Amino acid sequence: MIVRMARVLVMGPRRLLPDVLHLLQTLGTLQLRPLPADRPDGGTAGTPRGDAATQAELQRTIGMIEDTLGRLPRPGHPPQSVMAPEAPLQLEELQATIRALEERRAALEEERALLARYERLLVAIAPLLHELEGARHLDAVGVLVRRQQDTAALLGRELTRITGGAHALVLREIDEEHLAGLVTLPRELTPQLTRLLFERGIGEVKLPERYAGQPLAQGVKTLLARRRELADEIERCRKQWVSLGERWHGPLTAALREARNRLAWLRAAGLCAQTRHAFVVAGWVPVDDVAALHQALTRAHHGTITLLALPVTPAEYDAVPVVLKNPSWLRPFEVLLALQPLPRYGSLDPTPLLAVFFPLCFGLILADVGMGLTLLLLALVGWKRHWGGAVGRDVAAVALACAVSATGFGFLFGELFGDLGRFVGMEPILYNRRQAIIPLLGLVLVFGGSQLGLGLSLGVVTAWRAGERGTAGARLLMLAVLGAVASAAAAHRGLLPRELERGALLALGPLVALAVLTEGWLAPLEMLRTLGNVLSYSRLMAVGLASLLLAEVANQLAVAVRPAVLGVGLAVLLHITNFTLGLLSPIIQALRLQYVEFFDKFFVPGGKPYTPLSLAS
Amino acid sequence: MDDKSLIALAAGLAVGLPALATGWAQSRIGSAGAATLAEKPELKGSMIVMLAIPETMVILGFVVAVLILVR
Repeated sequence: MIVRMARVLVMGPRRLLPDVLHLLQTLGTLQLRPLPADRPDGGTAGTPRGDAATQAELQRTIGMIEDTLGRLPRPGHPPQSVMAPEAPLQLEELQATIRALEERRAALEEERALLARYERLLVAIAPLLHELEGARHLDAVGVLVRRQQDTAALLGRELTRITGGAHALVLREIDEEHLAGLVTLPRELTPQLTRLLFERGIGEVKLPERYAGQPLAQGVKTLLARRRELADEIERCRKQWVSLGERWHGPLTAALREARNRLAWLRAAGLCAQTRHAFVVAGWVPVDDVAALHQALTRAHHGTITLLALPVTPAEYDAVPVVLKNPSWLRPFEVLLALQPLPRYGSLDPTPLLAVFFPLCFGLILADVGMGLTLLLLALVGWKRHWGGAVGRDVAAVALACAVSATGFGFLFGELFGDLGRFVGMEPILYNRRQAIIPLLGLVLVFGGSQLGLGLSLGVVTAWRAGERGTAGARLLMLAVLGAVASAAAAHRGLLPRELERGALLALGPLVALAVLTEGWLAPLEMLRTLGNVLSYSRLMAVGLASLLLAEVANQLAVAVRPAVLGVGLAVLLHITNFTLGLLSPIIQALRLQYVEFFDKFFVPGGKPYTPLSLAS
Repeated sequence: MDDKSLIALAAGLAVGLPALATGWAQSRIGSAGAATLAEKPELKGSMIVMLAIPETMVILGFVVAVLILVR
């Protein structure tokens, strides 16, 4: 249901405007609407220049606080509710601290990753280097040698050639493909060795850039020691970050709330009109809240403030904000409406219709006791464990309704994971979908025709109420055409007297002619489109039948494939696939039938969301 | 070719040709939808429904195929 709104005007002495706005903000029921900027009475409306600058500054502060909060961890305990007055002042300083901490932590993490890459290599050659400590005339060069290409032998030969045998080469395994080695040779021959390694494509172990310039032995020693320090430093950074979160999360949240409230107040003030002595605030309030608003204003300002509540006229429908209010058992279905624009004020809230028709369409497609009960179980678990928060709870409630519908239709069609029902004595009560394809097609078309008939009837009422007589007439004609076609079809099938078939078909001529006269040459096309919409409901039969056949194939696999374990495994896998498809496909097809075929007949989009002046939560 | 084969061929064509058309239409809508969602993620619901619109063709084709086979 769309909540009835009232157009209100709040008037009073100009000096009371700030207090009145604060009161309205606390009550949180009035959505302000702008007043014309040039008023004939010499008053003003709009934002003064100074306020505009304050608003920009507040907006900037809000952005900074949001950015800072996004970079701080949430404290484990509830945040302090006390506003720290120094918070906004210290914001830039705090941001700089957080930035420095983040940069430090990123640098440490990067260093740790770098060392991890070197670790295996360095661990292999570190003991060898240890033996060389203090040898002033000798130099050590680390090498990385590929094992498969006999590079080690080649390196040995070349080293003998360069040094005349005055060298030592020690190799250690580091993985299946590589050997890490250490070449010890006279210091003056190091450049020749470096050149040789480059020419032969043998990897030289070079220290990371920040350790370059040191002898290899010293560099490796520093690096390994550093590796141990890094973990401690990273942990220290993390603790600092957590402590910043604990210190600042509460005050910043409070500051953010305060800044948002202040900004909302300033924007609201910009929407009010003022003369030298008086102010006017205009807006929309739910009719049920008008009395409470009046009472609060009278109590706070002792009758100096006047409240005028006026009824909304159809000409204003486009501007009136929309609030949906449904009973608690219907409210979860509003989640389905969230995929569509809000209905315009003065039109119809389709939530109750969705609550009836969506599960029905879903059930008609899935129609399987096994899959319905599985979905029921999943929905109950999701509900119990609060999967997905508040939206998840709504989705679970919708899934629950769909599961009940699918199970119910499953009993009517005698289906339990396809045709397994016959093993437990389950017989179709209404139709066997596998065999009664044509009767099933008839059933879904009757269902579709009835739903569209209801949609057109609602469309007539909605258009009539909105003063759109032409649209109401066109929908009435469409309804008559649908009725004539349905009567002719029913008479043809013998459900109505046969004579009615001819009469109904003959009536179509004048109806089409009337439609052309009143709406133009495109009217017959529109009528054909509506009949096409009815045929579109055949998807309820087609998609459902495909799901049933897939389930039957799974069951046949279990019998046909040997060994039996493999057959049963394949069947279970196929049933799981079918269940997944069986959830997605009916949801999409059922939604599509509601949004495209059904809503087209009565739904008027274009509602504005209700965003009252209120305190930030 | 006997009558049975012709009936089977006709039923196959009745569902196969619209399936190709549906696939082609969905590919166009899907690519446009992906581009739309990159800019306006809030249109996700509408895009899913729009993507399902061409399925009417293959579903009606399936119905025709069933009618051919059953009659």
